[in-house]
Amino acid sequence: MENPGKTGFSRRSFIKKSAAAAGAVALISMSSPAFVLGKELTMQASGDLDVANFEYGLEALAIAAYQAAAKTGLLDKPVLDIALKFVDQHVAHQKAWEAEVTRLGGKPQALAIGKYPDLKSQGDILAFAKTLEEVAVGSYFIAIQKFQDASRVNIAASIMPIEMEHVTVYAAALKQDPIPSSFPTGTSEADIGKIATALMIGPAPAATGGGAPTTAPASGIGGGNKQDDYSGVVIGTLAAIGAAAAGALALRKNNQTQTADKE
Amino acid sequence: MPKLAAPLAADVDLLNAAIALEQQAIWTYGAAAKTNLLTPDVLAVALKIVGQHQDHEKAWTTEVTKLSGTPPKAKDSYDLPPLKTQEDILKYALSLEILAANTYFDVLQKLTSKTLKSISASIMNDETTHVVVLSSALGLQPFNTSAFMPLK
Repeated sequence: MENPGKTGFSRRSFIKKSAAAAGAVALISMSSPAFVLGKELTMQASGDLDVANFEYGLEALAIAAYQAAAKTGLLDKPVLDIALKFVDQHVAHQKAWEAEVTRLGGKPQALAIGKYPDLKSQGDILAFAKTLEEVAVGSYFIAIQKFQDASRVNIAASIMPIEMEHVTVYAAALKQDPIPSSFPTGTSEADIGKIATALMIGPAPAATGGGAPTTAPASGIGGGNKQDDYSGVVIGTLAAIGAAAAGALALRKNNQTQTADKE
Repeated sequence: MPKLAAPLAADVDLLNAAIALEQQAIWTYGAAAKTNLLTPDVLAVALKIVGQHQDHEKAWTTEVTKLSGTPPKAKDSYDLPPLKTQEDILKYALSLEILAANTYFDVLQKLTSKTLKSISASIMNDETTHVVVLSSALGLQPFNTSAFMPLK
């Protein structure tokens, strides 16, 4: 698996390394011109390029966050298996946007979380992962409206439901209503900005990180959607999802042609 | 009533096809609920899903009407495969939901109106949540084997 994270990645060291960049860039929005994150991206302020690079950056951020979560040792095996499968999908998405950014003459710019919330349990991690996946859904929903080029609209539309699946799996695992809305659109643009501020999201630091002091951390991350009580529903338990996923992954490992086809 | 420009007329055709699919889903879940084969928990989920399909149908009916089109009427009945167990029902429902999600993916790309694209995108998301829930109920992998649409 591709590992876009830095070597020796740990939450603490990562926070330290990214502090300078994150402290400098606490505002993130997909609205032009605030959509752009820094000087380098501002200089390439063409609409589709900005949006494509934002999606590239967000996928990179998600991959790094999953890798950080996997290393905490807090995840049960079935959950970890699912998380790793989701990482694979985010890597595929990141590659798709890397190709688009390059095609548009830009330089792919990863984003990074400057300040993680406290993640002390598997539940904390699942809630945090759900928040990030909801941001991804929201960003793609917005991107579908913002992209000028039809082929890029299609890429965003092709990825968004996969992120929606991730959200739904986490909702079920957290015993939240997995089907809360008839028209789910993910996190709104305004809330993406708030979350980005709270997490001090900014351009990922270069290999040689700085150690500048951070600004005062914002708070309030991790809320996600209001949850219905779905505890009476037999479906959607983590055990069922985990067993299904683990079974499917094992099948795939044993026999490439025998994936768990739903039909 | 003035005639619609060709792109909007094409949009109406796409939306009417989506309405027909929603109507089939609504009828099918209703028929499934009447079989008494569903456990109470699964029935509760099925009824919630029906409500969402009804929301989709209403949304599209509104849009077609706005475009001066005529939404299709639901059929009295639709073909069903043999449904002898809850698993049979869940499998068939899953196939319809996968078809719906993939249809909206296709529709989204063909629609000319940005507003309609957005509605289609949000409904595609919802159909995807149904796929996840039904897949997990069947003990299947609850996420796509590919990182991209269409769902398989």
